[in-house]
Amino acid sequence: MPIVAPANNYYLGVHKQTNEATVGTIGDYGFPVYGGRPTPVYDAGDINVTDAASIAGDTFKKPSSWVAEGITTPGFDDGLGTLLQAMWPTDTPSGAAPSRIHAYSGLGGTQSWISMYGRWPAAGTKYHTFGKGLMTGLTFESTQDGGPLIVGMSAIGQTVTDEASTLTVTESTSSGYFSLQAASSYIRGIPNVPNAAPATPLTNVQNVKVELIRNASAEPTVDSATVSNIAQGKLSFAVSMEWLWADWTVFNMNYFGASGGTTLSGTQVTGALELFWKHSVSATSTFKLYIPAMVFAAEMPEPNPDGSPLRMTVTGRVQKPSSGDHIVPTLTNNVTPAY
Amino acid sequence: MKFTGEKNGEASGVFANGEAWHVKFDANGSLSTKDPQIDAALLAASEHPDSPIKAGK
Repeated sequence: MPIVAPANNYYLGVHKQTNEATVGTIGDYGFPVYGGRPTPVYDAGDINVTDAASIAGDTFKKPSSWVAEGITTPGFDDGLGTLLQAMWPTDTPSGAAPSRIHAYSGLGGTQSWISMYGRWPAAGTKYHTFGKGLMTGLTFESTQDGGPLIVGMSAIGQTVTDEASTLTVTESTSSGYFSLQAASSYIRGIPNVPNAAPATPLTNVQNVKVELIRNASAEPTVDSATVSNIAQGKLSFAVSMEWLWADWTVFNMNYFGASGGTTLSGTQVTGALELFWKHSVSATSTFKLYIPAMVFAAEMPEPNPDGSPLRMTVTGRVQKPSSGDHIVPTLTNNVTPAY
Repeated sequence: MKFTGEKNGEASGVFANGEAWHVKFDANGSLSTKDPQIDAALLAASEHPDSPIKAGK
């Protein structure tokens, strides 16, 4: 029997609840993680009163909830749908498996309740259920190093229990994953034409990260040690890209307002960005993120005497599009049910 | 409202009270609803560039 249990046997289960009250015991998908896990919030406060006989204040237990921050997992073609529906609650699928097209919408509206399952099969075979949760953030990142699309997620929720649970599908990278370096995948963008799918390939992007945050907070009440209210806030977005410098087009369009511009643009120039991941195994599985209106804020490159390539940081400022969601995902996979 | 979509297609989402909803289009790809919450969700979904749903009169 090992004295020290290894940390590398952990799965995160995720389940879409049918309503807030019904937590469920079956994870729709189980994800191996690069890192991160849901964990209870159980803080203590000090009771500081003028009791001369006491050298330190006693403590009391504060209301408990749970939080999951910065969990990262590879982008799997089937399980990704469960994560997407937690942020875009409406799914209008079309077509037939294995090319079932899931068009997600409803960003910023009422979200699906989710459960998360922290699964430690080798650490005392312990399964924790984190129920009545809401997704508070999703990130999508690919870099020049290749490998899987890295999907990050954050969530908060109300209840934590120690109870048995199962997984319907256990994800494995051997079954494939989304990659931006797979054949026919692409990044397309145009800095000055918004609200239309861009047709121009962006060929010198070294890494790209798209981040959505749905601010939410647990709101305890005076008469309960458990949290039963979660306040949903506004969304915020962050898009960042690192480019190898090729020409001044993006900088000129953003700062001067035109590729041949010479003086500061009086207006904010908005364009569109589209990322398209292909699957490493399944030829029919794809994942597309379309940002209809985004400012390509290009930072002027830094000179450097070491002879390294000229690089440019482009920060995407996501704007409200002419119609629909600020960020539009389309997942094509072998999963028939709508979430 | 009336919507058109994929024949025998479906859509699902979440109401403001947190309950899940699910609708199906008929064999002709049409759907008629009287629920303003579903109407709003399907209208929003129809704006997705890859959505098969179109809003009718």
